[in-house]
Amino acid sequence: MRRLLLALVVGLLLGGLFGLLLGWIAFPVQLIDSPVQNLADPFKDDYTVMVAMAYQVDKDLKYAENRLRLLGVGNVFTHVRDVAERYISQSVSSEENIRYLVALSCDMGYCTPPMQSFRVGGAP
Amino acid sequence: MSISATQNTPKRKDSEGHAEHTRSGGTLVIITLMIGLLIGMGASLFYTWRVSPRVLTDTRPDQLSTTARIDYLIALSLAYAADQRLEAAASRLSDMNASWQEIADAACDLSRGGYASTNTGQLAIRAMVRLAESQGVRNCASSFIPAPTALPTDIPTEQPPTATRVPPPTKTAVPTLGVTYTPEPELPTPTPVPVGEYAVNVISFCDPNASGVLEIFVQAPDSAGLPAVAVEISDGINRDTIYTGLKPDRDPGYVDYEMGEDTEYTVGLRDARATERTRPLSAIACNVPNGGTARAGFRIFFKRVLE
Repeated sequence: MRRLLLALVVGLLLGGLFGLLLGWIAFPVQLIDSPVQNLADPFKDDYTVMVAMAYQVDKDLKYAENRLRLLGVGNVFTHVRDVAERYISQSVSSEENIRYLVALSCDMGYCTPPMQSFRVGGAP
Repeated sequence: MSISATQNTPKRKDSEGHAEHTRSGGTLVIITLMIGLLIGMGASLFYTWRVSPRVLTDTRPDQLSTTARIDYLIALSLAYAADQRLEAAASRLSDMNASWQEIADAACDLSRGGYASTNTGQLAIRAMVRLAESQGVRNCASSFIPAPTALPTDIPTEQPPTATRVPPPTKTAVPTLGVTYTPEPELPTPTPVPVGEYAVNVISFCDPNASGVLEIFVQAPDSAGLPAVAVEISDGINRDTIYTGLKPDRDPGYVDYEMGEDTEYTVGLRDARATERTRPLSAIACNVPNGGTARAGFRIFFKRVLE
């Protein structure tokens, strides 16, 4: 009887551990109702570029700010600055996209020295 | 010998029974272990998938919630409105697993709600409709977009002077008959557009004598008017370029433009880089201070900033 009880406990423990491994690591829940803030970083960056481009169309800083708040970043202004500077330093995107980001960042009050050369041309 | 034989038989039976007992006990232990494994795994899977799922923070746009999808669609449509790159819009749409129809449907829903009550919201809806229509998809929001109004066509055309009969020679001077042809004011000489940054300032006014007119002034840092500067006016679909300096009596850096009804215009300097455009301007109805109504006009100042 003791052996059976021991086997049951060992089985529960092993099964539990295996289940946790499967449920959290191997096959985690794929959420299909995800908010914008859960997007992977490359998509977050692309969303930021899109908002910067949208800003060139509507010139509405408040809307740009609200759209960026969906990303769940602490400070949307410094977020735009950071993305713009990262794009400039890593050349990860087209110059056109950098110009959009720089234009938005500068209008948000963060116009840093690396941005100046992209600011001369303004947003395309 | 017979005694020992009789003694050995139960012993063998005992050991066989014990072995059988051990075998069946081992099977039972394995079965119990398996049951324990299954129960433990089931319980922890329930816990990890239902009670406390691990939230993935590296999701793709196709996993966005309905609300977030609409926000993403708005952003990509406005991005298309900015750069007109259809392949970029299609690629983003593909990331979302969305169709062109979904953009049109989202625009339709937005046009029925409070989102359409602001200029910025209307711009976004128009951008969505235009993107969807670029692929031939139309729906209820298509009617939300006013058809582009015809630009003013009453541009004064020069009347060719009619041939006049030569009067018989007389001693008295006879006034010239027919239309007198006055030479047009000389066009301002094109000067190189100063490259640099201009600050934009927009002031609205309501004047029945300048109803729905954009009055544009391009100025040097000392407020002197700059002639022959290309001013670009866009209604989102068409872009018109007009030049300052055609009304030098008003100001050398002045030019005006009559807005159509129900259309939003943005104004910018075509060649001057690093200059922002105005916010969307439309000739909405306004009340004249002394009574009566007119359409709103805007005085736009592009003043060059010293570098």
